[in-house]
Amino acid sequence: MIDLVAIDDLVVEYTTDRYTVRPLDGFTMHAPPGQLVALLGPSGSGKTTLLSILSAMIPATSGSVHVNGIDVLGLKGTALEDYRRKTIGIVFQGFNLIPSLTARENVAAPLLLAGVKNKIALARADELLDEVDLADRAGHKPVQLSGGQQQRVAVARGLVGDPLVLLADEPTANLDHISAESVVELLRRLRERGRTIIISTHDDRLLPVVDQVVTMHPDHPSPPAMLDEVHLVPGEVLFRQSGQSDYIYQILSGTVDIVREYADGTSAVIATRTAPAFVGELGPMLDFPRSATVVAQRTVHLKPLTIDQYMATADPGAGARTSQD
Amino acid sequence: MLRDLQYRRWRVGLTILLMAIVMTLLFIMSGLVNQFNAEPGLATQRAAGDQNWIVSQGTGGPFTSPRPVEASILDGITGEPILVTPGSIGGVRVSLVGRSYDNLDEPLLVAGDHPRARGDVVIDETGGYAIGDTVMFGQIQGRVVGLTDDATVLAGVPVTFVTLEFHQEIAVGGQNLVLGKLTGETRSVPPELKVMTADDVAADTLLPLDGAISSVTLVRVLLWLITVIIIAAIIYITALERTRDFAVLKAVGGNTRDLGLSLLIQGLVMTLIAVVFAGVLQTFIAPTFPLKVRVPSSAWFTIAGGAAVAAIAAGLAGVSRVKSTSPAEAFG
Repeated sequence: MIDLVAIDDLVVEYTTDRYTVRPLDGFTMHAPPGQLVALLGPSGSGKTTLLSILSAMIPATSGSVHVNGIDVLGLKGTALEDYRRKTIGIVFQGFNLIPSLTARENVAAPLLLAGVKNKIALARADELLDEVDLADRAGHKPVQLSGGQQQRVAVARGLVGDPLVLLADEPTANLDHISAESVVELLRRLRERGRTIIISTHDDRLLPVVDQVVTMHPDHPSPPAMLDEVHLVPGEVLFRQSGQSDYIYQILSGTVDIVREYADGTSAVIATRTAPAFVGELGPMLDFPRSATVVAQRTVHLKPLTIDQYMATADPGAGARTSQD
Repeated sequence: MLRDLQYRRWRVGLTILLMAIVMTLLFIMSGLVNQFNAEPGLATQRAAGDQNWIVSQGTGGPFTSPRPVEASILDGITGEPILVTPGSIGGVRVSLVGRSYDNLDEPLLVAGDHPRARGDVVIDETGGYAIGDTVMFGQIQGRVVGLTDDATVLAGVPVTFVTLEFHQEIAVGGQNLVLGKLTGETRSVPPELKVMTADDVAADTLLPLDGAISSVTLVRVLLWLITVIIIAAIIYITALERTRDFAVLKAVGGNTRDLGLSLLIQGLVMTLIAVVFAGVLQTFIAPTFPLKVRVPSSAWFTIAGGAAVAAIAAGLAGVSRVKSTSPAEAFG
């Protein structure tokens, strides 16, 4: 089956607070028509970034994204507006309905913005509200609807252009289990009609009902314990910013600099650690990439520790000198 | 756009009310400045029409610094004798005009008759008197026989018309003193006299109000500043408040031009409603002012036009906000 959504080797990189972050690094995903795909991962793992890329809202650094054969990364002007109106539908986290409009007008808004006549747009909205079992709430403002009802209105709005792909950002967040179930049931029903639905979630309870799970933040197994010490001469790098975290290091002798590298190519020493101390402990514990580069200032001897070894060695109550990464 | 205004109706209503109140003050200030500028000309017209005033060289202006002279000095001059002096009725300042009214149309009356006999008084209606009322010039009694309008000088001092003889009795102890003579002709006069046209008299009467006009004009400028700031702030804040809405609408296919235009029109509609409201409001507030407020029709165009320009300028700032809003912000 031909993939409706094809993402290959996607890299998204942006600068924030002077340093560069890379929420998506070589990401690849394919989805055929009629599939319900869950992007699973914690906050900051790139789920929303990926949905923004699929919606052609932010640029990518490299890679390719095709939806129904359309090169999404190359879209501009009216082609971009057409893509957003006809090829994809979006359901935002927190519903994002326009508070001044009724449910019917919210659903019809994309068509009205596209210049469709009022009568036709509202008729289409009524049809979709009926489909999401909210025909009797068509004249209500968002504030008069429950969270689940608002989410179903948001889904109806996402469907108004009859898109091939529906993107839903955390569609069950902030909903009670009854409302969440009705939204999931609705998404499954829509999937059965041949539409590809991509949802982002950090709720793994949804996984049994989806066709494909894309883990946005793969588990990194703890590295094996190392017996050998590490010896660095002045200027030698222990680990680099943005690299995958592995060990926590105990400084046995010597001094290291903790260096923040900025997007403009400059860098600055943000802290210094001298034995006895630890360095690089938060990255492995949180499973985050390294947030700084560590460089030997003077000849240094370090001992790599696993998290368990560190917990057994360190005395948190003693206020040991630790670094942020 | 209208739905959004309806949704925020209380805030929009209060905003329009606030703008309307400031604009009402603008209307009134415009009316006051207009009245200050128009008052001398109108009063001069009421007193003597378009005629020239032949007065002594010592007179700066009939209503500002009159210097009565013996009537005999003007014996050789053809014209209607006139006396103008400051006076008071019951302690309230007036400007007294004494002359014959037989062959002249002035002053135009809104009610009653011209002064014909000793004690007859015609007064501007802002004096608050009715026909038949008794008025006291010190110990001398008069009776109101007619009312005129637009006959005030020096920012609201009512001009009071009496016969020349009665005026001389009230003001100069019955001496045959006059300020000068009125004539329709332009002629050369002896060196001790001078000719003032109606425009000269009006211009001289306006001089003491220069400070007041400058002050009101300054207040008007400040009110304009406040109006522009209010309009700009409200429209820009509306744009900021609706950033999420704009992001969502852009994400579902809306373009910057249409969304920006709706914001621009929204600001214009609010502003123009405020202008109309202010125009109506000033018709109720202006009569409560002690001074006549003569709002020129040009004020409507100036205020509506100025406010519209401010709204458009602020709207364009809002449009730039819409333009810079990324649809990705809708993902929050």
